[in-house]
Amino acid sequence: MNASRGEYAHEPLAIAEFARLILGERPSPDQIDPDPEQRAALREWHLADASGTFRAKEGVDPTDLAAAGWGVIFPATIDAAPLREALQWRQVQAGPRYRECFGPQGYRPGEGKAAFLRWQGGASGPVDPDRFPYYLLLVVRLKQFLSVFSTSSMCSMRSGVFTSIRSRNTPPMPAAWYRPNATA
Amino acid sequence: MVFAGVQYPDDMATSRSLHGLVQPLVAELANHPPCGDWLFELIAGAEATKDRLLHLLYAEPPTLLFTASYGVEFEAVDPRQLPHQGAILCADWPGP
Repeated sequence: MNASRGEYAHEPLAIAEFARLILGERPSPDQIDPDPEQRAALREWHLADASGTFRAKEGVDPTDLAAAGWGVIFPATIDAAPLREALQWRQVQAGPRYRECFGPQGYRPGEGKAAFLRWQGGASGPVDPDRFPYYLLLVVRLKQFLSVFSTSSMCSMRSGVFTSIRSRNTPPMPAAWYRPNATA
Repeated sequence: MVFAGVQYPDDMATSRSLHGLVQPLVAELANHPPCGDWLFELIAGAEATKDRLLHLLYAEPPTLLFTASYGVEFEAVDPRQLPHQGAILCADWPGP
């Protein structure tokens, strides 16, 4: 019983859903609890449990960019200058845990997640923001978008993709944010 | 041994815990041949008040006190969380 709110702490669980839990069918969090707050918490744990790597290390508040860190990854061939002004806000928020990967530090075609993180100083598993940011914005050319994600290069991190880059070699493209499960 | 089962009117969860757990458990134990000289007391429904349970805990503690009730939780920002988190919700709770 939630005494702060004066109501049930958890909404009643339907017997059918309870049975599915017992049988190990791992029902979606949306089917377990109609309370949005509880559902959001359940979804967080479900994702963390399912992915095994979808979280920051113990003690890091993922809602605080200064603690969790924020970074942007450009392909090595894309000029970062057009986005520099837009990135300043995140730089202020993340402070010393802000990271830009571009040019020689940028993403190289065909590179996998583990290899990329290794030479960036990061590692797989729970993210240590002191080594590499928890939140990442991936910048790609639209025509490369699917190939980037089909290699699962960054899929275990909280990532977003910004696909509107003007360069001398490519025509302007529409902007789109890809937000798998969290704010980039 | 004392078994206390709280039950609120029109509340399915406490009704089931009392009638489906506490009462059958007491009946099973009391009628179990090896129970020896153990005495079993059932405190059911409206009798499971805060005063009654406090008396059992501090004045006349039984060898075993088994309770079935709601537990109380508080929001993280609620100052009552530290002293009262996990408290037993007794039968004389006036409701929200």
